[in-house]
Formats: sequence, structure tokens, C-alpha cells
Amino acid sequence: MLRVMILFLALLGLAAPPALAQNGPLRIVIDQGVIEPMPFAVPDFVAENREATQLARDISRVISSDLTSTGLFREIPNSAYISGITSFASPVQYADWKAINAQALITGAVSVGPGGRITVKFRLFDVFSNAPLGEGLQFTGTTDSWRRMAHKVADQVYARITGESGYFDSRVVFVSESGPKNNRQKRLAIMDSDGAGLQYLTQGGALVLAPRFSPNGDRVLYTSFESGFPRITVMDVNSLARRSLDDQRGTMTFAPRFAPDGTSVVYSLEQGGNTDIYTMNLRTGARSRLTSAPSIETGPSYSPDGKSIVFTSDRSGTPQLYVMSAGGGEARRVSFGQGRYSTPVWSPRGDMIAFTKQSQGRFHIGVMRTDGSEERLLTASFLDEGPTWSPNGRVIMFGRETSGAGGQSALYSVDVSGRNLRRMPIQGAGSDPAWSPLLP
Amino acid sequence: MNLLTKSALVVAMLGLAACTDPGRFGGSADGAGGFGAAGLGSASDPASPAYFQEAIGDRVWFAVDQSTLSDSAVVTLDGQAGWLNTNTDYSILIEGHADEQGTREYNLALGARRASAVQEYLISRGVSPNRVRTVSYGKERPIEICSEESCYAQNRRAVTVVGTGAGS
Amino acid sequence: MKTGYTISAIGHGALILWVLLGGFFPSRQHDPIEVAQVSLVSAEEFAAMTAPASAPRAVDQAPEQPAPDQPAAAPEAPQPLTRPTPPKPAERPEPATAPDPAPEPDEPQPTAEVEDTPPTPPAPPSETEGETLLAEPSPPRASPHIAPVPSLTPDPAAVPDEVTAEVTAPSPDAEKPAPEVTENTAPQEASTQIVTEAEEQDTETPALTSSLRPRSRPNRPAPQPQAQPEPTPEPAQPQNDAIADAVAQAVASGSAPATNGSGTARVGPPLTQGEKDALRVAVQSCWIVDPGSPAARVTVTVSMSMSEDGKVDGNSLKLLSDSGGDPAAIRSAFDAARRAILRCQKGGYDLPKDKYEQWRDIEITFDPSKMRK
Repeated sequence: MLRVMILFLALLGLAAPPALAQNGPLRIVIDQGVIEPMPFAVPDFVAENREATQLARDISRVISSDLTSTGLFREIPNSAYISGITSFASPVQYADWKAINAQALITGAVSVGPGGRITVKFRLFDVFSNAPLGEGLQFTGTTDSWRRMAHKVADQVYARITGESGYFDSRVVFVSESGPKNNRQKRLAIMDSDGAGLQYLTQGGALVLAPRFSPNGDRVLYTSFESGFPRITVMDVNSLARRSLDDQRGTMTFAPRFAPDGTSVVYSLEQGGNTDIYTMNLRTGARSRLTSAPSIETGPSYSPDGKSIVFTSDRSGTPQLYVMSAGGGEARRVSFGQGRYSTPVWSPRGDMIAFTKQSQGRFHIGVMRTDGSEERLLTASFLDEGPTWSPNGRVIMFGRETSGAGGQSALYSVDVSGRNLRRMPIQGAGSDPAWSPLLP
Repeated sequence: MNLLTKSALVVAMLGLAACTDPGRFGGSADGAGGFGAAGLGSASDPASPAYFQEAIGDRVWFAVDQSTLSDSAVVTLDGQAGWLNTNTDYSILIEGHADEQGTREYNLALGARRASAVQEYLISRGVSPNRVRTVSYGKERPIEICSEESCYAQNRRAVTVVGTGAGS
Repeated sequence: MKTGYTISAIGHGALILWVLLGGFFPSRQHDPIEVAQVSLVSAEEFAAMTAPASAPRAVDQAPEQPAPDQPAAAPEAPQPLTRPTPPKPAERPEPATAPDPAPEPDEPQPTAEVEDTPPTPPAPPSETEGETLLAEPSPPRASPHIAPVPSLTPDPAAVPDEVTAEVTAPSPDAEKPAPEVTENTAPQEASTQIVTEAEEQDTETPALTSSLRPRSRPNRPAPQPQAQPEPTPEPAQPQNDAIADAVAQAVASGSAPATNGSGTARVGPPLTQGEKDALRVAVQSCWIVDPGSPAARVTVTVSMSMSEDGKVDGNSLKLLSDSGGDPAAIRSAFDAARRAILRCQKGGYDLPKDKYEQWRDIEITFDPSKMRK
């Protein structure tokens, strides 16, 4: 009996606080979400003085356009707003933004100071958490750079929400084209990542191909026929001064790219009909040969760590992708799918290679892991070629040409997931884009 | 940028503009530096470049992805070699081309292969190597612009452009 | 030929002029853009600031003082959340004032006119509509809501809107569809999988008709210590001699379910699979995954406490564990999970009231691995 009593007490004791007697938290696992653009609101920035009125509006529009262009965000039109932002400093009425389902809210203010200096401030709010997302930031610059400041705000917003760096404040160099296929004029052009601010770097006289940015964006390498023969040429983007590299008579040089440290160039050199890969030190001019095979070796691209080079070779009979050490030597084939592979480009994150693939009469832009696994084709058309990565490795831009006598070329971009294929809004035709790093 | 810099740039640019495309007057779209395309003359004059171009045939064609010379190409090139061995004042520039079914840089290399195949053959037929240069335009200079095999076949070519200014 | 020279001469002349006048050579000097942090002001501070109408809301030239005086602002130091960002070593961060903990206005929101959702066909089942979000807890207001227009900034309505007048006559019955996001691009619709242009070619894309139902009952992961008592109802009768045994058993079974009537009633039986599924479906319909981002490689587990009416205590939301990413990716993954939870609760999750103790605390694991491919 005593035992029974003790037991009873013991049990009673265990069960004593009934409220605690639950079974721990309810656990749920969610492995399906939705892939859709996140709604955000960016009310026109507050103009803190009269001179800033137009700028404030324009800056908000550029921010919105940047974010929307990613396909990851969707702007809620301001006609849906319940409350406005009348002052940068006033607290946010979260409920008003929740009510219109704005998940992110961007507020900001612009003022124009003496000497045309403008100040742009912004804050980002996670509406449903009733909290700001990161600190507010303020950018100061010249009036001329207002678009860049808008891009910087958009980059911040993008980074805070996605957890990866942005890419809006960057530029793209490409070949601007005009004229029919059989008499096409090509010249180098440069633009902001959103297609604004187009400027030409060369005149139309000589054929130019495939420009590439230096790692810090100060120079551009390209192939020019200015001498009558293809020659790799390096141009200073600010002064437009240029010089050709490796002028050896009886050879052609093309397909250049910078090494990640910017001090040397890897490229193709053709001699006697055979094309191989070389590097050249830009300071000393010293050249070294990385491949020597009777096949075509071209389109080299460094890994971001500078240790490896991926390139195209037709040593197997058709163009395929190979990876070798940056010093040359044995190369390992990485492309094994049906078709022909070329123009490989190592991603800035280092984990992927983008390429052009020809298969069954169509061209694709695709990505694969650096060992060739997990190949995914992102696009398909009559002729897509020449991918380039956004500085954060998230977006790929490339050239697309339509078929037939009236075929025209245009620049397109696509998210690395394969979504959000869009044509770049630029005047005229273009090909061979190359993305700069994020601007400082 | 001050006025002085601008002026300097203008001068520089004019200097450059002066040396564009000597070859545009010949059969080819872009001329190679130091290579002046010859006046064509009359096709009825067997010693004229026009005769070379029209009667002998200045170009040969290739199969997809190939740079080997076909039988008919060899016949044409034999004719070219004979003419060149007779008219030794002329030098030649061999342009290699590819169709649009390929990526730009690979096609540049492919065009170079084709030009080189022609070069080697002509040399083997007695043309002095000093008189011959090659260049590749890849897919940049198509003749026919439709996107069908009939056009592609015309564009996969090597063209022998006769010029003055020997192989300096 | 003469005409050629003439044209050439004119062309060159024009070119020279153009170059001289600066048209050709782009002035691409990159004016450095300076960055500084801007502090946040709480409602109280703002009220204090604006009370004296002459609040010095200077056009702050110096990147310093966007917010003049900060009464007792707990200097939160450099928020770990912000990357100091771009170029110029950011001027030292403003002592950030604690964010206004959101005393929300609880006047009923005109919810009818929300409808901002675009006509995206296969949208998730309406959960996302901003229906009844009004019910903010509305804690005691610290200060009356500041309508006042700070002296310097004109009311947007009053802003002289010339030029691009994007003036948005706020059509009261905002029935308007969201802006055409893109004119010429791939579909933006919500979907649960990605179809690339390359794939579209050969399949007739049945994929986009997304249903948010989990395709298959997600196999519950093994580590699911769903401490289901699996009631081993030891007859209360202590038949067993060994007291120790009994005690051990009681401990093992966690809560001695059957013995004590009062406890059982409040705890209630465990949630049924259907009830749990309902919660899962509700949350997942708001969980936006960006499969291309580093955050999509991160699995996070979030814990939270619930009130009896099915609402999430926002302050209780915590990141319990994570795997698979760098800090920025983890933060982004957590933010997305938190948004999903908070956004989809609307008036409160539909959970059986009689089993409150079973879901008073909830842990949700968000695992995007299946979304990536």
C-alpha cells in the first residue's frame, strides 16, 4: 500500500503542472514553396528641396526598374497605396503596406546641395516583420551620377533581400551592330547594366569582335581588324587609348580574356592554320604557349581563382569544352552531351561554367558545374551565343541573332535558373556582351 | 577633357581614319594592312586580276566543318597557281570564311584553317610563300545571307584576292 | 568620285566638330559616390522632433546627421545586418535608434481595394491576398500618430508635379492590375518549378499549372522527434511492484497521459495529419523561394509561439537552426521563412482550439532542396 502511495505521488508529481505536459513543440517540415516575384513598394522618394523633385521621382523609377528586371520582384503600383511617404523620417505605417501586400517597402529622400551634389537616402522595411531590414544608407555624388546612385540603392535592396550581392551598378561592353548581314558595321559600345547611357568606344571603320572587361573594369580587351588582320587589342576605358598586343606577322590573335589579377591575358593565336592558346604578360610582353595540338583550341576563360582555364577544342572531332591548369598541360574534357560546345565562361562564383551549345540545328546558352555535371540549357533559338555573367553570377547576358536575310542581333539576359528571359532595352542591334565587375 | 587633349585626339583619329580599308575597292570587304588590292582591269586580259577572278575562279568551297580541298577546289587552285606563276608581280591574300552555324571565335579559327589549306596547296604548286598571306573573317563576312544550306554552302569558302604590294 | 570626296570632307568636318564638342568621347569620369548610414527614428523621437515646427531637418550635406537629436537612443552600434557596403569606407554608422516597434494604427483598413495581385493565372490559392490584415495587436500607443508634415518636405500631393506627371489619381476602386512587369519575357507567374526556354521547346509545359498541394505527401524526415506519446497506457493500477520501473516508465512516456484527467483535457490529442497538413499548406503558399539564390541552399528551422487564436507572436519568431550557407544567405533564408509565416497567418492560422497545448509552440523547417531542381 505504501508503495502504491509512493507511486501515486510520484506520478502525481510528474504530472503536476499539466500545462507543461505537452509534447514539445509541433514540428512541421515545408519543402514546397512558390516561385513568384516578391511584391514591393517604392513610393517616390521624398524631394527634400525643390531642385530634387524630378530627381527623386526618377531615382525611384530606376530602383523599381532594376528590381523588377530581375524577375524576383514585382512593384505594387502606387495607385494601390493606402498611405504615402511624406517624410523620410516619419515612422512607417506597416499595416497600410501589409494591406496592399507589399512585402518590402523602400523609402527614400533626395536633396540637391550646393555645387550639384546630390544626396540620396533610403531605407528598406520588411513589412510583415514590422521592422527595417538593415540600416538606412545615404549616398552622395554628383547630379550626373544619379542613375548610379539609384543602382546602388537597388543593389543594396537586392542584397539585403536575396542574401547575395547585387549587379545593377555595373556596365556592359558589347559590339553594336548596324547594316545588313553582308555589310555589317560593328563598333564597340558600352552601357549601364540596364541599357541606359549607351556610348561608343570605336568608330565603325574596322571590324571589332568580342570585347571583355578587365577584372577591375578599367580596360577592355577585344579583337580588332584595324590592321586588316585580327589582333587582340587592349583599350583603356577612360582615355580610350588602345594598343594591339602580339603583332607577330603571319599570325592572327583573337579570343582574349584577362587573367583574374589583370596582369596577363589568355588568348588564341593562329599560325599556319592551327590555333592554340597562349598567355601574355601585359607588362613584359612575354608570351607562353599553353596548348600545342593540331586541333583548334580557342575561347579560353580563367577560373576566378586563376588556377584553371576552360576552353574549346575540336581535338575530339567536334568542338567540346576542356579544363586545364593555368600553366597548360593535360586537359580534361568536361562536356559530354550531344552537340557542339563553345565559348565557355567561368562564373564569378567559380562553381559553374556557362557555354554556347549547338544541337540539332539550334543554339542554346547553358550552364554546367565545372566538372561538366548538371548541365542545364537555359535558352533555345536559331542562334544564341557568347554568354557573360553578371558580377554576382546570377544573370547571364548573351547575343541572339534571328535567322534569314533580315536577321538581326540583339542582347538578351536570362536568370541562371532559366527564368526571366528578356531582351535588353537598347537602341539598335548588339552582340558579344561582356559584363563589368560591380563599380566601386 | 580640355581642348588640347581633344585636339590631339582629333589628330590621332584622323591619322587612323586615313588608313582604313584599302581593300574595300577590291573584291573583299576589308583589306589587310599593307595589302593593296589591284585594279581589276579587264576580264578579257588574261593577265588581269579580273580574269583571275572570273575566268579562273577566285574561290573554293568547303563542306561543313571541313577544311580539306574537294576535287573541284583542286582544279580551281591549279588554275590559280598557274596564273600566279605567270603573273609574278602580284601577291595574294587568301581569306577564309565560315557559315553562320558556329560561334564567332571558333569560326574565326575554322576560317583560318581553310585559308591555310589553300595557301599550302598554292605553295605546293610553286607559288612563292612570300607572295601569300592569309586572313580569316570567320562568319563575319557572308556573301549570301539566307539561313539555309544553299547560302551556307556559298559562305564556307576561301577567296584568293589578288593585289599589289607583295608580301612586304 | 568627286562626290565621294565631298561627302568625306563633310563627314570628317562633322566628326571633328563632334569630337571637339565632346559628343563622342564620353565623360566617364567616375565620380566617386560616397556612402553613409542613415539612422532610424522612432515615433516618439519623431514626434519630439516635429513638435517644434522649426525642427531642424536640415538638408544634411554632411553624411552625418539625418536625424538630429536622438534622445536616449540605445546606440545599437553598427547593426550586424548591414554590410558597410560599397566604396568609401562608410562613415561611421549613426547610432541607430531602436526601430519603432510598430504601434500600428488599427483603424480598419480598406481591405476591399487591395487586389494588387496581378492577373497571373496560376497564382497560389488566394492566401496571399491582403485580406484581413488589419488586426494588428495594436499595443498602447506610445505617441499619437504623427501625421504632421515636417516643415521641409512638401506633401506629395502638393508637390508641383510637372513633367512626367506619373500622377496617380488614386482610383479609389483600385481594381487595376499590377503593372505589366515585363513586356517581352518569360513567364513570371508563380510556379513551383522552372521551365526554361530550352525545355519549353519540346514539352508542352504542363508545369505551369501549379497547384500548391504538395505533390506527394512529403515524407516526414526521420528526425522528427514528434514526441508522440504513442499512448502506452499503462494501467494506472500499479500492478508492477517495482516503483522505480513505474517511475521510469512514466518518465519515458513523457507525460503520463492517462492517469490524470485534468492534464489530458488541456493538452488534447495530437494533431491529426490533416490538421498538420493544413498548417503546412497555409504557410508554404506564402513561402517564396528563389531557386537561383544562395538562400535556396539553406535549410532553416524557425521556432515560434502561438496565441490561442492561432496568431503568431511575432517577437517569438527565432531562427533555431540552419545549414548550408554563408551568413547572408542564412539571414535571407530566415527572412523569407519569417515572411511566409507572418504573411499567411492573416487572422490567425486555423488550428484546433481544443488542442492548443499541442501547437502552442511550433517549429517549422523550411527545406528548399526540392525547389532547386
